[in-house]
Amino acid sequence: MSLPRGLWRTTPVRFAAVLTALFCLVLGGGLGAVYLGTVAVVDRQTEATLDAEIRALSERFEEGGLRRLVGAIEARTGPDARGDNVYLLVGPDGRRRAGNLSAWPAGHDDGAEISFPVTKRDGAESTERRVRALTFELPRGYRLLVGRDSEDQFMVRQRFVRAAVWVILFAIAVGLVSGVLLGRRVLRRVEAAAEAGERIAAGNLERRVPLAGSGDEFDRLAGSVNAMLDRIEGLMSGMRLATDAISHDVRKPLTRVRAELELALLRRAEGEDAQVVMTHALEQIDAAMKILANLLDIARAETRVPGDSWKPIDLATIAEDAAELYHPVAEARGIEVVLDTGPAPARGEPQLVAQAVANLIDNALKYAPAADGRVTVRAHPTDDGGACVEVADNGPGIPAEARATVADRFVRLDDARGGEGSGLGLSLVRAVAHLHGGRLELLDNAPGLRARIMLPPV
Amino acid sequence: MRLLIVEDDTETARYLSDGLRESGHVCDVCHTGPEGLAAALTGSHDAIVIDRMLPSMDGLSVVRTLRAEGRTTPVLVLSALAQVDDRVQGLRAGGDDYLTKPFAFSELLARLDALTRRGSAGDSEATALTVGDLVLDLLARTATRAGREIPLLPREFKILEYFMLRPGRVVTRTMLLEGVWDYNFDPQTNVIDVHISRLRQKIDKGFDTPLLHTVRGAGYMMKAPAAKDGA
Ligand SMILES: Nc1ncnc2c1ncn2[C@@H]1O[C@H](COP(=O)(O)OP(=O)(O)OP(=O)(O)O)[C@@H](O)[C@H]1O
Ligand SMILES: [Mg+2]
Repeated sequence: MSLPRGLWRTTPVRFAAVLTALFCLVLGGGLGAVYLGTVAVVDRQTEATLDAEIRALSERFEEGGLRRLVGAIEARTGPDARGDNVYLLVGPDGRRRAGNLSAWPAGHDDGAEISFPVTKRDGAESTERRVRALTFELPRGYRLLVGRDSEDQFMVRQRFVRAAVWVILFAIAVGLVSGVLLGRRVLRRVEAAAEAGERIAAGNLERRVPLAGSGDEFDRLAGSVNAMLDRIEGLMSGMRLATDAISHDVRKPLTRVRAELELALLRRAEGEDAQVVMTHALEQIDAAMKILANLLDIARAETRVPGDSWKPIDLATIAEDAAELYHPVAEARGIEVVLDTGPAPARGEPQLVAQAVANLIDNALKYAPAADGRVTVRAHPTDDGGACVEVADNGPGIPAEARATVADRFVRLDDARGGEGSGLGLSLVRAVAHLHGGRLELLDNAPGLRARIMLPPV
Repeated sequence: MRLLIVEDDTETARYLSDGLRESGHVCDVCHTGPEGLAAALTGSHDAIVIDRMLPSMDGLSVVRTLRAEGRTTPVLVLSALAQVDDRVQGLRAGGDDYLTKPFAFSELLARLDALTRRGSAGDSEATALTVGDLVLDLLARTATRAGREIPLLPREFKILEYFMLRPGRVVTRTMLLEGVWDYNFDPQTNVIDVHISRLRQKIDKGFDTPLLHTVRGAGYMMKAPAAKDGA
């Protein structure tokens, strides 16, 4: 599948390795403790016993000389002696003087603590057993050896080590297998997400990361990735729509300008004639630039973060000022504007909020009927401690099914309704509301529209 | 007027200098921040037009250094960024006005005019402003034309005051929005024209000579009839 180095980079393998290392560490520690508490203790006891024995014998030697020592050894090795200790006393010439060992073990001439095999005869059978012994130099070149059969201990230790090796090997196997299996499970889900991500990156925006339904961290991760994808998809389709609309709305005036200028050139327009053409061209270009400026305003409000130009604002003052700005427009159209405002403190970018409120009033005045038109501008605190500014009119309103999309860029309900506009006003209002952590609500004023910006508590 | 233009984009720089020369100004052009700073420090300009984004030293640093050197030459900052924060930053750095690209040339002209004449514009102690036979009493907050009192709404008074502080000079719609309403955005509908036509109804209707004029493609201007001044 892949190179060992590549394999090492996969999560399951690394996971398994770490798991195994941990297993071994714990087991090794445990086995070590058991060893120290059992086998090592017995070893130490044996040694202590031998040490005591050798000291007792050398005391005999000191008290009563060689004879006494030989007597003591013979008493311990005689036919009715208990225990299976091994004794040997050799003279300076190396010959045996007493003891139940025929000769000093070969190759162990020096060293205080030695270990050697002894062949034991039990009737016809002979077995080789391991003996641990301590040696002691007596005066005048005599040497004493006291040993003890340690075959059983040796066997125990050997078995212990063998068992420990097996246990560790088993732990490694279990660790690796379970680690790989567990890791593979985790990886499979991550891989599913990664695969979805690759598809999405390749342009398939409808794909979503599958959920296991267990509600665990992976489901939460997948859920938030999916939510992000929903948003990206929304932005993408919004952008596609906007691009189409831009090319339409901006191209229209530019095409006209181009045609008019071209015609003027052909006609060799001069003087007054040329002035008219150029003035008109400037107006068309201004219209196109105004659309671009609006788009930029919206894009900025959408992508901005709360900045240092934010300050405490009062929606009431902002609403009153904006209404006042539009007052002559309302009067010219014969629409009555009613103000119903009370202090509504909030926090935000005063210019942007003013622009948003102005857009709402702009719409209300544009779409309210010229005869009997009535626009109400309200500002007041909300129940949750936030603030709200509302513009209501008695025009045709926005049908319920259009309210979700009407604030998208370039959406105009029916161009037949006439009037100027590019369908960007509400987009800015919504973007500003979102920027401030609030929202734009479009409600039925029966008849008419009640548009409201809700801002969160300060 | 002698103007200094600091703009790295040669196309824009040429368009600016051609236009300003056409309007009767003398222009020095620099393309980088350090060059611009040197020119501003050695030359004596009536105003400086500086792009905010410049290679090697940005426009705002140039303005800051200039101010730190004690120069008070009016500076108009040009920028491709229209964010409100940027505007605030630009003014905080010592710029006197801020204009976002793309802009109408008439807007630039009007603002430069306003900047360079700001020092001499009326004296701030004055309690009354006069243009032709129109008198604005700043203390009583009343307007009279040819002895006849004209009733004004508070906002109309402010608009008139703005014009009368700048007689004979072009005032653009954006300048009015900024100066009278403190708004630095353009409303969807052209509300300024409606305000002006209402104001005109009050101060010019019924009088022989109009004082409030429309400047095509630029804005408005308040001007006393020339004949009366004997110019
Ligand atoms: N108060 C209202 N009454 C009825 N319809 C409205 C109202 N406000 C908005 N609409 C509908 O919603 C659409 C989008 O409004 P929006 O403000 O975004 O654009 P616009 O007013 O057409 O153009 P712009 O604001 O860019 O000049 C409008 O075209 C209109 O059909
Ligand atoms: Mg609108």
